[in-house]
Amino acid sequence: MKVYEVLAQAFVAEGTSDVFGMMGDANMHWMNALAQRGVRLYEVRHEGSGLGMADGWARAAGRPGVVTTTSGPGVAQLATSMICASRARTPLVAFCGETPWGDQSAVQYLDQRRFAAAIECGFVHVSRPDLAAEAVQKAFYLARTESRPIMLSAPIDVQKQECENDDYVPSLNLLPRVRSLPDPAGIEAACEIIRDSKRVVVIAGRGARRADAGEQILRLQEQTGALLATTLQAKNWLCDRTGYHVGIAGLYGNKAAMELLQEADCVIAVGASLNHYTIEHGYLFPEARYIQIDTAPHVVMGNGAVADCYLQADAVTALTQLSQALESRSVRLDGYHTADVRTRLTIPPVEFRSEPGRLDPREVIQVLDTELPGEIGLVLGSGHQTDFGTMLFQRSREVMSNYGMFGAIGQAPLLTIGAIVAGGNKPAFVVEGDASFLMHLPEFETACRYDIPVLVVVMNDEALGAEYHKAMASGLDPELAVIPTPELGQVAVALGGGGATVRTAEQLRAALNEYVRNPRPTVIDVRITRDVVSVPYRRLLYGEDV
Amino acid sequence: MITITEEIAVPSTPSRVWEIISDPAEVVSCISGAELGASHEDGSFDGTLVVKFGAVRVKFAAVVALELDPETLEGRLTARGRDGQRATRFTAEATFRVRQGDGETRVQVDGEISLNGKLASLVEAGAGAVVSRMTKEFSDQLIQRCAPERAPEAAPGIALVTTTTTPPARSLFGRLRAWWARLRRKEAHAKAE
Ligand SMILES: Cc1ncc(C[n+]2csc(CCOP(=O)(O)OP(=O)(O)O)c2C)c(N)n1
Ligand SMILES: [Mg+2]
Repeated sequence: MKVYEVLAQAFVAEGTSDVFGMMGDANMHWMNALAQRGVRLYEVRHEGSGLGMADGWARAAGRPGVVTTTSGPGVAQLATSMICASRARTPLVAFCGETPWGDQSAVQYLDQRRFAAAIECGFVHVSRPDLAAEAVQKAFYLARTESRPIMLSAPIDVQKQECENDDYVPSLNLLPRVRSLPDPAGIEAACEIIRDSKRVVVIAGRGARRADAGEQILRLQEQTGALLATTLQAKNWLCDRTGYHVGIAGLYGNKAAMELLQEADCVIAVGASLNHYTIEHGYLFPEARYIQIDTAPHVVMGNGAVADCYLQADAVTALTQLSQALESRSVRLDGYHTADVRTRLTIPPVEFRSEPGRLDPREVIQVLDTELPGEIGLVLGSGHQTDFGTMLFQRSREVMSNYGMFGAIGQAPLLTIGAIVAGGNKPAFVVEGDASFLMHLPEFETACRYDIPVLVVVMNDEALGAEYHKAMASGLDPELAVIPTPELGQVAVALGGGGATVRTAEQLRAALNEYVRNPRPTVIDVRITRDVVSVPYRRLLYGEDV
Repeated sequence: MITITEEIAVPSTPSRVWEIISDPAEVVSCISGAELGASHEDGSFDGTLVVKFGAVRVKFAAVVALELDPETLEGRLTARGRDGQRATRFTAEATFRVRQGDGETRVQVDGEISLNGKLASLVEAGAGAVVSRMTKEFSDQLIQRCAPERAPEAAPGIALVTTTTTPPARSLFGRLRAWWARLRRKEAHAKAE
């Protein structure tokens, strides 16, 4: 058997069903072998975009995504997306071809090991035919256990050699399946802290959601009279299950939520690292003691400190034990569960500020939330516009955000395409800025080619809105950030999808209804005003208490 | 780095303005969110200041020193400290000069505040806006404080008006002054032991 076949077979054994990337001399044999084995190949228009899709695929599926490139230039294209995936701690394997082993004069030669290090991914080399299968196993093992991208780099001459086809042991077989139980002394300590507290906040993160600990969180929240907040990654989770949900903890919280959170004297984090975004470097919880439940062996929080009580445990088990312990000690708090808090949490209506032919971005979010059913997942894009959706989407649905993961614009539509593929082609929408969407526009054509029902809602302010508003605040010329765009609805149609350019709420509703009736790759170019500045920007740029 | 350059026109005499501006308790009462703490042997004193950056309230604790030159009516204030999370250090330096203007007193304040640490990224450009709002508030308060004492023998009509519009700041000022005096006595007592 050829090495590329052994490699392909090993990928299939690792559970690879979808591969994103672009063919070239150094990976096409392997891709052919994959296709013969029933793996779906998604030919993209740029390798970095393919990686973005594999990233979205992995985040949605919860297992390693796969991207592929040819040698040298193909690899070099990965840079930005790779760093994003690395910062997002996405498990992923990049199968990269290489020029013949040792030939540094080859046109496409690149020191791929050093490049991988610079773009923050792990590196496994296929140096010998007899070690090929082991290399795949190692790459997947590292991706899973370290939860990060790994580059598997295979010189084309090695790939074309013959080798034995031994039985392959998938990396999953090397992972013990154990639930980690909380230390009883830790449960005891947590009970003491809660008993001495008056205002508890429970923060649910991505880890809690993955562990499906919703019911346990709601029970603890009920017992402790707690407010329930989420991290950005768990946005809107459980928001339809309690009247004391305050949304995201951090800069994206509304004013009432921010004020209430600052009164907390105890924070219980579940599957949330409590990074500096969530706790605003500690400033959001100046008086609180922290209890943290997480599977990681240790976590340093965003205030540079460790929790007062750290429970390394599986979320469901730890919460169940904690709730039982509180009950047996008759600890029960009313805490925040009062009529006054409920009143404070009622969101006052806003008056929209549209101009002729341009909508208020807040109204756009409201219409999207109303018209798109909860089964349709959401990915939040980048730029200034993303603040509106991040703060204002209310409906309970799957939400993915790329904020804070290297801060590159343009990744979100790619993540959405990958997530849709992972979910068996169920429709999902992404709310993205005009510049961000245009950055990887060709991949909309990829979505059309494979009939991936992605809805791209472009919040089109015809500007680099982020820079426009920052320029305004710092006395630079905002006009330099104004960049006109063509009608993107027509562009989408030309690329083979559905599309509309809308300038009123009515037109927006009509376009959304068409997508809901018949989900297919669609772009809705929504023209929005530049006159509405987001709440986070008003806080950061002008120190406004809003 | 945040810079402050402000000229405040106070409708009062330089000596009255100097009286206020050279008294830490008076100055503190002009800054909302500021409180005076213990004073030290070298003449410096502790102070705390709560500032709202966006929706986040941050409490700073500082050691403040004040150098005064009553001859030239010039002063120099330095403060250095940390916030309650111990994540950010700050230093502030300001000089102020009181001089006679055209029928009023002019106070020239020049200062620099530098924030170092986590907060710096959190407040970004907004910190400058917050400081300039605080400066404005300080100026307003200073003008109020320096207003000449109301004459008790004023006409009844005016007296009526004054009673109904007595600013709450006035009583706060009184309270602060009494509190400061108590604190001083307590301090002296503690040191004597
Ligand atoms: C790859 C990359 N290039 C440039 C930037 C700088 N940048 C941040 S936001 C932004 C504007 C994005 O514009 P748009 O997508 O239209 O969103 P808007 O801010 O207008 O809402 C830019 C250029 C970046 N973060 N990442
Ligand atoms: Mg824009």
